[in-house]
Amino acid sequence: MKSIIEGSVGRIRGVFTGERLRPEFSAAFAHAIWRTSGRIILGLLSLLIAALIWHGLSTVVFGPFLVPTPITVATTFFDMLNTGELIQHSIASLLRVAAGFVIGSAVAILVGLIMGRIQVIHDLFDPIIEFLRFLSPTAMIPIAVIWFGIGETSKVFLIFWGVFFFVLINTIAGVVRTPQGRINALLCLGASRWQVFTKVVLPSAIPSIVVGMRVALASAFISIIPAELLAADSGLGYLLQSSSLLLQTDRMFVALATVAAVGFAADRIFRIAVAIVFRRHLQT
Amino acid sequence: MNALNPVQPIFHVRAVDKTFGGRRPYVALNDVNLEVRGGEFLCILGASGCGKSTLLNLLAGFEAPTSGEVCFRGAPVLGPSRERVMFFQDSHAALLPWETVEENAGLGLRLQHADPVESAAVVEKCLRVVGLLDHRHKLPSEISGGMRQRLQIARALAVNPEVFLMDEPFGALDAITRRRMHVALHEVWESTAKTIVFVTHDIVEALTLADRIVIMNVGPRSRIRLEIKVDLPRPRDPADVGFGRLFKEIEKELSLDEVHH
Repeated sequence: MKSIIEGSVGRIRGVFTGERLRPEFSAAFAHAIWRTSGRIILGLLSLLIAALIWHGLSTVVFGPFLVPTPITVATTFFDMLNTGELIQHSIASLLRVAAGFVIGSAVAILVGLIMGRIQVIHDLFDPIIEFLRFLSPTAMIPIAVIWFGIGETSKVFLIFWGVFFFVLINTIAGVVRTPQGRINALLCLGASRWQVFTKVVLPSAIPSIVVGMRVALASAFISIIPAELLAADSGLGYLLQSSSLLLQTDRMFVALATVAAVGFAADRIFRIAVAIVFRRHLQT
Repeated sequence: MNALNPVQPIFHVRAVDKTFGGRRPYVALNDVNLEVRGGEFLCILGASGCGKSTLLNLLAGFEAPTSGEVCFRGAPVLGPSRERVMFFQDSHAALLPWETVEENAGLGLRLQHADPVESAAVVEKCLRVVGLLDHRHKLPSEISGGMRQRLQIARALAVNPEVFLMDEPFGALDAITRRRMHVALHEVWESTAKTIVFVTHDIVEALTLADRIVIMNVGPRSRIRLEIKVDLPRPRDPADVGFGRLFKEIEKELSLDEVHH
């Protein structure tokens, strides 16, 4: 890491003094450096400004009890990290998100592929889906508790609910939008219906399915908090709720920040993984 | 080898009507009659919307006629088959963008579960014919539009069909690339003796390639209005007197539509 920094410093110096680079390179190179490092600098600046505004709101406007200062939250964050408490809650939430996301996506892709290919089944189920998709996971909490109790099942069900429709609708759209020319091309090369499905329809739908899954992943993280507010004994939603009862606003801020950070990280990992695995399918 | 005898028709289109449904039905084709002979290069020429692509889709089996019959080798066409391979203008849609040039060329053979070693040899030969062997590991997005059309030709050659059905395959290419494609296609046709049915709205293209040109009316209710035999020596030369005479004749014929519509 150190050598990389030194290396780039050396290169930057080269740009400015013209020692190590030919002049025609230096302008373009300086521009490239600004493009990458400039964005990082602006990003850090944005965080810094946000922290300053937050500190101002905390000390001057609302008072540190309602809005704990960034420093208090950071201290609490590291304390909770050290005791392992934060990790434990994060893992509990992540496992629920993962279970709901994987099951929800798998079922939605399967159903979506069938609905996208078979018109009768599409027409049969589409009205139900168009109806149910307006119910948020939060709206389903009371009934989930009656159906599945207050254990893990109802929490996973709520994540599932928050994931299913996004993936389903995008899968159907991806299947339906498969270029007819591509299907015809395969048919006149002698493909069977099943081969058309596996060789053309499924791969052609991948970009759309991936878009649906990314939206669904965000939805899963949005859904995990309400799912854990009720009768949980672990998870970031539980941390939020129990801290609220004890008026520990600093711990609540830590919980909220952690959900956002973990969600952000999960999205990035998903994007990178998908970009590697489906490199050829996602090219435009 | 009787199939390659140009006198022997392999397609019979008899009294075909094609109406597209809906609340306001559209009669695309009305009483179309056509014979395509084995080994000939036939161009279907007409302005946009004259139903020439519809006719080609009937020959391929992607569409069924509303009435009348389309027969291939004496049997009605019931669906697509790899005896009659279609080429599309939109090469991006027609090829599999996630497969390499080589994989795309071998697609038809893989669909038949052909022996991989034999397939590889066939694919290599076909890619060499169209001059894509050096690009075998690239993706379709990494090669030019002309190369993608040559890849479609290689993919078809690999399954060794009897007929090439080509729907304005070079319509999206620039003029220079298109001329090169004409030369390449002509070579493939001469060396393989395939039957080619080629749809175009370009008179020069039709005269450059075809043994015979059929001209269609502008729709609705399109039909074949005129058939022209092109008896010019190959390779065709647009500067040739006979070429110019036929060009004028066809252009006059096509401009009649403008008077009626």
